[in-house]
Parts: sequence; structure tokens; C-alpha cells
Amino acid sequence: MTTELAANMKQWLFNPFIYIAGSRALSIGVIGALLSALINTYSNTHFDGALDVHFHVQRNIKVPIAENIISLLSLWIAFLLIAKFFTKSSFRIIDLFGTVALARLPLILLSLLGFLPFHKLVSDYAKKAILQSGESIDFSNLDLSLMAAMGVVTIVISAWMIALLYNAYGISTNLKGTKRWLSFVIGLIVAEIISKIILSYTYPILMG
Amino acid sequence: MTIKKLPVICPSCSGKLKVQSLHCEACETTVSGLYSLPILSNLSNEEQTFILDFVKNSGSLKTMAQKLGLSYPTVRNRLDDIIEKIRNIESEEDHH
Repeated sequence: MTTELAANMKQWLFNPFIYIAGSRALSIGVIGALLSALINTYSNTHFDGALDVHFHVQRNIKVPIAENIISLLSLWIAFLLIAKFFTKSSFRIIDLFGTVALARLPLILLSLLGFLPFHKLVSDYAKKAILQSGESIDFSNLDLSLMAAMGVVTIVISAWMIALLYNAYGISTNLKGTKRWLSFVIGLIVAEIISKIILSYTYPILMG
Repeated sequence: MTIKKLPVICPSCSGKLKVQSLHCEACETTVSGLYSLPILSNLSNEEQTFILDFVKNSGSLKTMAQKLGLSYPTVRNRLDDIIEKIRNIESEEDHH
């Protein structure tokens, strides 16, 4: 019974798409993206690319909303084009869009991480490293431990999201084996490129 | 009561089994010959149950997904996998 419960929990954590897809997943995913954009406005977090997370000052409320929309759209477009090329199954676009949107829910946790002093420590470290090159930079052990811990947490959450994206892509397109992981990796790279291109044109407009 | 599973693979050489005789319980008549098993019998019990459910639900994957508590693509993928398996069985039979 315990093993069954653990297996069930693992499925909900890494592959909830067995149970949720289509418009239901899309609704939850889009609400999550909006919530995450709202949190980013106050936590100075940027999703400036399909797979990017950076922490720096937020100048405009439109920026986090645009970043979230562009990141999601890039993943949708990239995975749709790649999957059409690789799969023989006639999958529903709503399932791909819905599951991919749902897979990005862990981003809310990354948005919340922006409230912690992690990014300030890193940026202080970078500034000091640039300004005082050659000189020793004094950070307390607590600061260094905090920076390392936050780095690990960010990596774990990002890895969780990528695992979710992989399963979302697989279940929506019914791709298996080499075709599945190869097309997924290509899709991620294409999505990252698309998002960077669109954002480079969008930032000047948003910053006015 | 134990439900007997129809053997479709030879336990000795793993080749495909065929039907050699059929028996009528009512009049004790036995018909001998060499008959191929239907394609569906080459599928697992779960796959056969899935096909039966699919037919009973008028071919609606949406209804099946609701009844099974699964998402639509999960159910559709199962169907796609069964279709793929049936195609492989058919092409194997064509080669023989």
C-alpha cells in the first residue's frame, strides 16, 4: 500500500498529465503563469527566455507579464513544430499547449525565491568582483552557505520543471525512445532561441 | 474460479500457436484442421478489455477517459499503441 502510494505521489509530482490534460491543464497553467508574473513584479524575478531565470530590478509591470507570455508561446511553437515533424500520432494541440503550460507551475516557486536575499548577495558579489579584482572579497560563511543553498534549490526546481516538460511533451505527442528525447532537446533549444529573439524586440517597446 | 488464458505462443519454441481442433460440448463432435487465431487473441487481456470498452463507449475516447479517470492523451496513446501492435501482427502474418 505504501509502495502504491509512493508510486502515485511520484506520478502526480512528475507526470500529472496522465490524469490532467487539455483545456483543464491549460486553464491551470495559464492561471499559474499569470500568478507567477504577478509575483515576479514584486520579487524582481525575470523569466527572460524559455528556460531563463534571472533576478534583477523590475522596472515595469508589463515586463514580467510579457516575459511569461513569450516564454510560454516559444515553448508552444517550438514543441508543436518539432512534434509535427517527428510523431506519427495525430495529437491534439490543446493537449500539448495545456500540459506544457501546466508543466511550468514550478516557476511559481522560483518567482517566490526572488523575495529571498539570494540575488542581492550574488549581485553584490559580482559588483565587488568587478570593482575589486585582485582583492579579497569578504563574505560571511552564512552568506556563502545561503548562496550555495539557493543555487541548489534553483537547480532542483528547474530540473523538476524540465522533467515535467519532458513528460508533458511525451504524453501529448506519444513519442517514445530516442525520437522523444532528441526532439524534446531540439524543441527546448528552438524555444530558447525564439524567446530570445522575440524578447529582444519586445524589451525596447516595454521600456518605452 | 481460475480464468484460463488462451495460449497464443508456443511454450517450447515461442512460435505462434494455431488451432488444431474444435469441440462441440452439446453433441461431442470434434472438428480437426489448422486454423489461425484471430488477431485480437494475440493481444494481452488488458488490451482486449480496452478494445471492448472502446466499442462499448461508441468509440469515444473522451467518455473512456472520463470513466477511467485518465486524461484524453493517455487513453489515446493506449489506443495508438494497440493499433501499432495490431499492424505489426498483421505484417508478421503477411510475411508467413
